[in-house]
Amino acid sequence: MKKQKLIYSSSIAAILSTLFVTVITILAEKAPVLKTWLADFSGHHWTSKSILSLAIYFSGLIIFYLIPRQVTGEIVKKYLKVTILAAFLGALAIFIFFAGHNFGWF
Amino acid sequence: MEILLSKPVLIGIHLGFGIIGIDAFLWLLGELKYRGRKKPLLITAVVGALSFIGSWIAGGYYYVKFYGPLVRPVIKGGLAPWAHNIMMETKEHIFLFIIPLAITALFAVLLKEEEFESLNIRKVVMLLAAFIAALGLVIGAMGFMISAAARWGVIN
Repeated sequence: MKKQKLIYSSSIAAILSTLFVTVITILAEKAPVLKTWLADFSGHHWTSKSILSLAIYFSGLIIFYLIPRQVTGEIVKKYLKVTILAAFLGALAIFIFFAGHNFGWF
Repeated sequence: MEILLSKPVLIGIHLGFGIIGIDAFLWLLGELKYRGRKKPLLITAVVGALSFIGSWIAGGYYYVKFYGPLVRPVIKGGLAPWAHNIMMETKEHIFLFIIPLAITALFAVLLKEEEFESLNIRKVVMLLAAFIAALGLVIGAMGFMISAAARWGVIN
């Protein structure tokens, strides 16, 4: 098993999962149809987001591991940095969105 | 089983696993900084990732089964409805970031010492471990505010 490729694939999968959670959370608040669909999918919108985010993470992990690519230390480092940045920005976006929602900014 | 699935025990399991997860990733940070042996590195990362998974399952079950129908209305009708509208809404969603991040850190510590050096990724893995612990702490602080808002909601 190529360990650096595993870290690289996991980073990309984590970025995709983070993006998914951030986007679907904000969209579902703005589009009740989507929130209803999420609630119907598993019985609760949060459970559905959990299942789908894990599905995206593990699918991404397998797909990016199997796609042939020469993964160097620089590439691993770059994607790890993007992973941290994506999670930080995603958390910030969700916090600002719900703060804005609460205070009626948007 | 009935006691295990009761409200206070579920909260305790959620919080307990969360604290172990945060501590494990802080420990991992120290092991990485001081170039600890491979086995402790791996054990801390596994304990951290598994603890966050445990916290997720216990917290998720409590959230879906009890929080929505019982606690949410109390907070929304209390002194600090923002504790649900902002803190809980943020907490429940950013928690979903933690497991993929923790698994990524776990994969990173599978590397041997010489591989860490040749790939030159020690600092960024340390940053990842610190970020996971910090995110856990932020989520914990939000949980404390939510619980306090529920208590004050009842008193009010």
